[in-house]
Amino acid sequence: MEMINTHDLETPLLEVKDLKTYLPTVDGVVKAVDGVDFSLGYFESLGIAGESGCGKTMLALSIMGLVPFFTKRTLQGEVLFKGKDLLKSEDKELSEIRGNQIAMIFQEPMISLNPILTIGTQISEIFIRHEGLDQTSANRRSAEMLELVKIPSARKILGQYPHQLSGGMRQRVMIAMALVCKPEILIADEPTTALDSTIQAQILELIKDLQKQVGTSIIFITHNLGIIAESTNRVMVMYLGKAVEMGSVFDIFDHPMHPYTQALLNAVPKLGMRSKLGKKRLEEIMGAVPNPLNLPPGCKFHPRCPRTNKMCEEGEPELQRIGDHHFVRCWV
Amino acid sequence: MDELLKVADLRTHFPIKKGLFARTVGFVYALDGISFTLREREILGLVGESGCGKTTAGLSILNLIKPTSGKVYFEGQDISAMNQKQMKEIRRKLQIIFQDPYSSLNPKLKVKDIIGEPLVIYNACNRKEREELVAYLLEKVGLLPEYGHRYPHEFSGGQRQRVGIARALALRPKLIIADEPVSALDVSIQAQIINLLENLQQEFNLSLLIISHDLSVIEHVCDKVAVMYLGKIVEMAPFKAIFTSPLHPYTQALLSAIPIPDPHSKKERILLKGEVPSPINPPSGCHFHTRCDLKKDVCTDVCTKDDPPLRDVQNNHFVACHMV
Repeated sequence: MEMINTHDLETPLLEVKDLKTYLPTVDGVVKAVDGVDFSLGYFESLGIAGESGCGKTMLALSIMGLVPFFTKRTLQGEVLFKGKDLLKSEDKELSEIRGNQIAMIFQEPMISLNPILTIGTQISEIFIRHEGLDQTSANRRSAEMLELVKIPSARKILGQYPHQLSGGMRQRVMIAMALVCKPEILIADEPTTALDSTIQAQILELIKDLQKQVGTSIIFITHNLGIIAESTNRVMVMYLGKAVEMGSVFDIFDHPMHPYTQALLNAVPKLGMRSKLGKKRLEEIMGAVPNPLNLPPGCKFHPRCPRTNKMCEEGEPELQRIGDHHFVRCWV
Repeated sequence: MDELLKVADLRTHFPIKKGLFARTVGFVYALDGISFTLREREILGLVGESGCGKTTAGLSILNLIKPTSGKVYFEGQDISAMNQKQMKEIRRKLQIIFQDPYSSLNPKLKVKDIIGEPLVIYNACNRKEREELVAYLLEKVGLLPEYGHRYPHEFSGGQRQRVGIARALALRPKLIIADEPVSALDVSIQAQIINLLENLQQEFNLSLLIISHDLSVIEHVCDKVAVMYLGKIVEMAPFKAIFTSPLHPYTQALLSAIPIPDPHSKKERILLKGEVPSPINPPSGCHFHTRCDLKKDVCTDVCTKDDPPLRDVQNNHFVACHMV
């Protein structure tokens, strides 16, 4: 908790301003992230919700500076980490921050761990790299990290390879690795999507506990609205590279204003609803997400929107403030 | 006849072979004795986590995997002992929809040929009738009849799943087994496919066996729910009973693990210890006792020694637990 005193709480921990990530492809430019603004305060958890292809993962990778080289040069906007623009930082500076102050958990733990190195080697590498420890003390600290994420018989696991572990265990290892340097920001990209629901509950509980212990700010990226409701206090809903609505978790779930947010909330069956309140038909969202190479004019959601009018086809609405912290991008 | 499908003590064990002579060194007890019945026009949901044997259950019922023991009766006939030729006749009435709409459609065939293939195999009609029927089916699943001339790669995931559904409907089956029909799809598309399945079930008088890990989807669609754990059914009841008063500790934990999209809901979460044990060497007695809290409180030998039978505790609410 000593961190809280050393920083000025007025400036946000992370501020993203008008971030644009354009991916050049053979067929044209895909606007994966198209002008996203948000900020993340100390000890906050922000949820980023959206369907596949809405740009939520590219947003995370852009913040981390992990986009492909040719894309990196075309990144526009600012990513201010404690006032320092990460997009303009040198690679060397960036790799000091990455893993040390900003860490990331990826969706698929099998792909993100190196299959030919033992778990011990992969965790101790971070201690050696960022804290300059020798191998012996790095090993000791690695075992402590594994105990922190509640892995039983941590010493034994250190000598094992990723394929010997189950999905839940691998995700725990990923979390342990991400937390090694007590990062100030943890970006969790679909951290539990590949896991079973009872294991998912364990991992979410673990992340919440660790947030209290270590004092990290978290960005949760997920399509699962249940996880967002339970684990975050502020939410950004994305559609086709843009934020369509942003607000506190209560704003979003109690008074969703954007038709897309409303539709998303009504499209998922909620546990216990039918048993208690009787059957209600699920609301469908018409059509499918358009091809990112051939975006509709005006509001990107208007071809699927139930409340569309002429204005929606003509101009793209701006993100407008409608409440204290509640922003919506919609004409209607 | 009311009872369409009856599964009695169905077991499927996969041998583990090792060494030069492929000696059998053990078994994966994928499906370890499940029994249930499915009535006409009923929708049964089979839920459980990965590795609990729900997909094996689906495939064993269809005789696509030969079960090790046990019986499957379809319209009173024992289909588990049938040979390929006899099965072919039964399969007209028994269809399946697969989880992954990307790998379950032949990429080299046009959509109209994919949907029409069952009709060709069963010699159900002539070419002209077939074309009409395919167009009709495409319309029924919400696709334009012109789309028949396209190839699967030209469609999105949701549209492909619609093609899979149309193919399953082509022979007018009585029972469709849907193995994770929506889990590969995006949230907004999921709702479309769920609504479509419900409409078609009504219209074609289908019985459905829906296999899924998603309890919210199961609750929304099914009349009756069976919860599986390590190859066994641990609880089976009408949907209302399962979701309002679950009795088995595993069902309770599973339900409490689902995050609810409502920031106001404050619920007690039952966190299970550890992970699902391997089906190669399942725990003795009640398979769930290694992770169960009830056992600890009461501390009895029964759970570790005896396998609890699935018994009716009240109005068709079946539970396999010593403590209930």
